Amino acid sequence: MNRLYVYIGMATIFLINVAVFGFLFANQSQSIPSGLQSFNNESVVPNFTNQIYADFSLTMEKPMDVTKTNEFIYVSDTNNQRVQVFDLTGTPLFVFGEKGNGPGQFNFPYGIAGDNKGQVYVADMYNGVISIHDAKGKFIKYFAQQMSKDKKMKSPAGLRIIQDLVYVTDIQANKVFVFDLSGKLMLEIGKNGDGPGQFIAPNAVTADAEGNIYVVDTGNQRVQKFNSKGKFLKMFNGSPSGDGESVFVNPRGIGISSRGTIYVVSNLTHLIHGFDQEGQQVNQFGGIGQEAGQLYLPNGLFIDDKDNIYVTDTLNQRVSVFK
Amino acid sequence: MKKVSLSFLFTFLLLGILATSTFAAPTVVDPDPPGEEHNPEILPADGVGNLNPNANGISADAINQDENFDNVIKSVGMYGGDQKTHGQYKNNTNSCASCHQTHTSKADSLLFADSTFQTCSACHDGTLGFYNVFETGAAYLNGPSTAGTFGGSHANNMSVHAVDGSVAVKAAPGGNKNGTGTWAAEFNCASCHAPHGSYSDRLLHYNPNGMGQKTPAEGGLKADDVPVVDFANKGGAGSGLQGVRGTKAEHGLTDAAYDSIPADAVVIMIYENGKKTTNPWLYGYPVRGSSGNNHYYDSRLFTADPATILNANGTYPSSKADQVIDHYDYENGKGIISLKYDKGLVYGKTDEAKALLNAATFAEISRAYSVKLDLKAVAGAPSVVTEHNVSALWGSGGAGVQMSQFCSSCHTDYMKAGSNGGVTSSHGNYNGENYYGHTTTSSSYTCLRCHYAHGTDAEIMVDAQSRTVFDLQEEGMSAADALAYMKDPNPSSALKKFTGMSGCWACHNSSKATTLKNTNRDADHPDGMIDDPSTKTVTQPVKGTITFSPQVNFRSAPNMSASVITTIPVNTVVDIYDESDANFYYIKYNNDFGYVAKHAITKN
Repeated sequence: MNRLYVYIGMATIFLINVAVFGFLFANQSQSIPSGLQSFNNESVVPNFTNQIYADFSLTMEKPMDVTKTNEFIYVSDTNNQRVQVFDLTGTPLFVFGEKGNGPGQFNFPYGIAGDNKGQVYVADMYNGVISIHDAKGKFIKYFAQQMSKDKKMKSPAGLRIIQDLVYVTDIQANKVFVFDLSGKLMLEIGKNGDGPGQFIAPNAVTADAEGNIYVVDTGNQRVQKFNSKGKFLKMFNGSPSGDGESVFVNPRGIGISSRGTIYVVSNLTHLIHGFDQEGQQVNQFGGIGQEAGQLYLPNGLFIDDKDNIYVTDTLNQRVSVFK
Repeated sequence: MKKVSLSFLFTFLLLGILATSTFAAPTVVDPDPPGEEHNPEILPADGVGNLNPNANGISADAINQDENFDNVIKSVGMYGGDQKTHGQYKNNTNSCASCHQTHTSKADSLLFADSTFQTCSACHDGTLGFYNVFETGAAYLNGPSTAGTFGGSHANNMSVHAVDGSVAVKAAPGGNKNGTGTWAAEFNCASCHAPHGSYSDRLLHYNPNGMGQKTPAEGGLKADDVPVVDFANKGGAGSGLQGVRGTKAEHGLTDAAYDSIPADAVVIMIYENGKKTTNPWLYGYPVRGSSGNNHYYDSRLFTADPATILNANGTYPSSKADQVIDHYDYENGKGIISLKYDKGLVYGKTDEAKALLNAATFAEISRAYSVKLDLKAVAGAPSVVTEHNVSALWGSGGAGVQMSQFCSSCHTDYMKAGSNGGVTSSHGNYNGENYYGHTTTSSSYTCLRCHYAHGTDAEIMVDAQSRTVFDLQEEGMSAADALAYMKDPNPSSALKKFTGMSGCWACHNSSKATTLKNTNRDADHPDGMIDDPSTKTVTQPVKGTITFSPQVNFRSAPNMSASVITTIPVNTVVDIYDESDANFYYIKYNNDFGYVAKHAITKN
């Protein structure tokens, strides 16, 4: 027996192994209860994990939105006209801002988002401006100030920074603006109305990995999806057709999980609804109450890169976290 | 052989590795380790979310303009029509679940909990783009709202109706501070506004503080066991409340709304001091009896003195049922008497019905409040947004007295014709004593003449010259100085439209009620009455940027030889107040006013 036969024999046995066990693996994989699969299953309802409360002496009044950067969790403490800052475990650290319409002051701090430099952007719906602060809350400058001055941007509400693009909803203008980080207007979507591509009081916006834009069209009780160029793609509201009777009452915050599930807050029903990419509802959670996992007039929603879902729970004066 | 066995050894080894790895227990990546250590997992009971799987829209439906009436249960618009509702409710509505829980509610009236203020302000904070009750300053003055603001600041001495549930109704000045029942109820948005529907504009409540069911002596509107007389015998001034029986023509019911009433029908309405009232009648039963006619309905007539009929709690024994004309005698209770709750009348069409009404001698009618503000749509705004002319409230024939009557459902003592001779307080501050007050029963002095309904703040007040803080800034005052000037110096600014007591001048500059006629009347209000602040609009200054490098002279007058106040560096943004000079802009910089050459500024 020479060396060649040995090699051929080994190769043959190897290939048989690959074929046999490959076959077994491929056929068994369906039933293997891998964690990844349950994670991927859209219908799995996110579970409540914890709550974030402000310091006792600095209780939040009507927290409208929340965001998380690499360093901190920021919550717009709207009726106190300030921003609350927490560490990543939810321990309150400090606050910034006061009532007024000057630099570093707020009248209705609403949408809040962080950029890749650790700066935090705050949309003030009453003052009609978006301000940029450093990670510690120090006022740096206004974002896209010309838009505010020209009254082109009147009442910025929803605010997200995704892949270096700044997405803003304007409630009174009934528009969504997309800027680059320098404040240059890249895209403008919408006008007043209830048709496709039209909005009534859009309160929140987000974008997926491909740059598709999702707008919560609050007054029309629906979510509208646009491509990155602003072309209308579809709308959904929890009804089978997407424009039947809406499941939303006063829809607010929106976020997309890593799996692509779109979560939308329905404020007056105190629920979070999850939707698949087709806009069909796959789950819902929350419900009115004060207990853990329950919500009372929830508003803002932010999903971090670990798929933690942060929801501002306005009447309970806290942020509830689900995963 | 060595090599062969070695090869087999490796082969089996390989086989073993592959087999082991293939059959190895899969690594379960648990995305959410439940309930471990610091974050105990708490699952809301399964299906908790299904308790109120929401509704069709509240606001959107109100906004949709293409709805036709067949698809809604209640009124389409917020203006026009008799009865208003909050938005629309479609025939498959689920909206009720926004506020009510059918079986498992924590609060009474099947409400979720006492969170009226937060629920209302979930939308009325501006996040729906209209009816923002927290809007203040220029945005308020330029907007359609006339009710004032809940969004003032303490720095500007704000005062508001405390509708967040922190006080009881009896806290109302002029009210019954020792009151029980409705007086002790929580005061919130729903104390004044009725979300389900209302006979008034702005959804003002039909029965505020339960006053529709209380007697005039208690501050209410109820016609309590008043006599029913024939039209020919109706009283005049001073006769108080009466039930008056007449024909349609005698009552002057000519409107198309009364077409369903035959000309020869017997119609009973409530008159006050000889004048017809059209307050709607309340439906309902304040005392629920154990059976049949034991119910006590809010609107009923008697064919004998009620003192001989009624039980102590207002119900009546079944044996006396034929002496009471109530729900069971009305058509919707399968009776013979026709009733129009919304028009405030009963009528009989058949001989039998006429005979029954002709036998009526007493009436006990709880009456609803109705305030018609003559609302108009606002151009360019969603169809639900309306405005009205506040100044018209104190014109003749305006709804000002209706409005005062509404306010005084809680501020009861303030609804008195008291400036001339004084009146006796029914409870309030001077319980049982005589006191003097403005005559709020006259349309000239209605509550809204001086007070906002929601709240005030220096930013939306005016002075005796009808100037706002924005007018003052335009005249050259700094923003801080203007606010300090307008800030009401009293401990409470009392929801006033005018700062301090400057509101007196709003009417008294014509020197009413004295023998000396003021001939020195201000040119801005020649008829002696300053317009309501809601008529003001604010023009914000144009912004400009200094383009002249490195700096430009800021001068005290529009010429090159005028003294230099200071210099302004390039790229500074300034407010331009006047452009009328050929070469200079009149601008504000660092709270100083002065002039800068036009070529050195670019308007933003």
